[in-house]
Amino acid sequence: MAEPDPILVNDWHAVVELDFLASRGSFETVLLGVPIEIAESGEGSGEVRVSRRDTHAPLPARIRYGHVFTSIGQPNRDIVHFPECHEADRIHVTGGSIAVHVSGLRAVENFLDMGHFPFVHTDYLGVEPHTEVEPYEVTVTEEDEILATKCRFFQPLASPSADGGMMVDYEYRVARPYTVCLYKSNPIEPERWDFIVLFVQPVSEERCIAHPYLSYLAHNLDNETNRWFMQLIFAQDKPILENQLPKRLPLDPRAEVPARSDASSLSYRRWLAAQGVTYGAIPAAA
Amino acid sequence: MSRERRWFPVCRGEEAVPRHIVHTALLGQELAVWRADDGTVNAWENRCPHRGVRLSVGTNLGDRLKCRYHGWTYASGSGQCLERPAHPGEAPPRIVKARRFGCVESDGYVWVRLAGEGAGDGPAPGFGRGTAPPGLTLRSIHVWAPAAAVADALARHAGEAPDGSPAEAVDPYTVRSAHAEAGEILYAMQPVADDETIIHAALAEAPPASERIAVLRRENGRVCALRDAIEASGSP
Ligand code: FES
Ligand SMILES: [Fe+2]
Repeated sequence: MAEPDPILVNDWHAVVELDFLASRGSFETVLLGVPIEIAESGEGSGEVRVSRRDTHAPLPARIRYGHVFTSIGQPNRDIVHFPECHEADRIHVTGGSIAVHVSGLRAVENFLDMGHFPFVHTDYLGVEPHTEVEPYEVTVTEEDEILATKCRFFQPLASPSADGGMMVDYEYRVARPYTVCLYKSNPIEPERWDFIVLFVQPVSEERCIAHPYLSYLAHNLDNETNRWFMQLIFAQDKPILENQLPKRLPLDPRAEVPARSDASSLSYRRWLAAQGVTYGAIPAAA
Repeated sequence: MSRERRWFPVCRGEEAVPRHIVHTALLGQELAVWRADDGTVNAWENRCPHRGVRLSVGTNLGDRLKCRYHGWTYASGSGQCLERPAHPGEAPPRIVKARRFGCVESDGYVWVRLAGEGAGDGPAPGFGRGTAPPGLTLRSIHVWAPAAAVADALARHAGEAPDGSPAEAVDPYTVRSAHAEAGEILYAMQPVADDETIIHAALAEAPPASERIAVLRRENGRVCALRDAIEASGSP
């Protein structure tokens, strides 16, 4: 197993949902192969302590987006800022963390992928024969993020507030190697976007925990319905991801056979290689 | 002869039922084995070329396999990709194919060879009895041990049977024994991985119909006892 890359070591990663932590006081998990413990520091203080379970060294902690974030190195940039997560006319809710036995990079790639909707999320995010992925645009921004725009897909039940099938507009943004978000047109206010961000915790190279955070336009939605929908969708992805071989993401463009609809996946793999991300990946042979 | 060039049994033919996909492995290579409606048996790498999802979690549509992830379909026989639903009505490039292995149905089993296509070398697929197929296939038994060790134990075990009947290691993966009770029994090893083997066994002559169940039970007990002994000892 490779050592985690500095770009991942010196960054923030979500490691537990705050509400879940509150329900048990402390929680043990693994980040980039390092066993860690997260504990509430005192009754109602709202503070948390994070430490390594092997050396007992303290680790930095931040609370953001309904989750505890930590780092096993020295974070040299802040947790990514998502303005949608602070807008008052939205409901903000964690989607429920879900462990997946596959590289977190495969999980990010799955999140970017529209082509699987009719087959994996049948009757919700897609349905045959509406399987076409129309051409869309992928760019790498000045901030060195991946942006996929002009994405469109037919969805029978796009979100818990949808009522019937519609063409849905999407934008995707990869902000960090293990952080990805999407904007999708709201069924009631089509000119505004619903927002989902996925913080993927790399447990090991071949295991991850996906921590979703949702900021949907409020329209009659409640937290429970929103979480239920997210968990339903994720439960459909999990068995597919766990049947991907190999479990790590191959970065060699010849390792798997893409189609045009995989433009965002191709761009993501190239971008990971350019940033020197190897943890959870199979680097291309030199 | 390299093991890759040799034919090994990977399942009983009757396990490859229509519209089903058998998930197995040979020499560490995962396989998706499936029968088309026209009877053709296919043995493919258990991995969709597109994004690596196991084909065994897909769907056998009778003349093609459909991948569970993005619905790409692959034709029986050629393995050629026929459809990529994200691009409807557009023929996929010819190079997009499921990876196929040599595959033959013989003597009641599906036999696979990992290296290339065509004849190759080593024994022909089957128990090597010429044209007479075995009379009765027995239950296949999985053992946590290397194939050579299992074959060796089988040969010795059969030779030490109470009736003292002789057993013969035909080659490192095939054992033939002659039992007073059962007559000739053929055992062929499927080396699933380095430390994992499936014993496929068949009786040369079918017993009378009235004894069939009793014979199946007796031979199943014999091989299971051997498996337990091998796994308990760590080395047979
Ligand atoms: S992985 Fe099989 S169709 Fe995409
Ligand atoms: Fe999905």
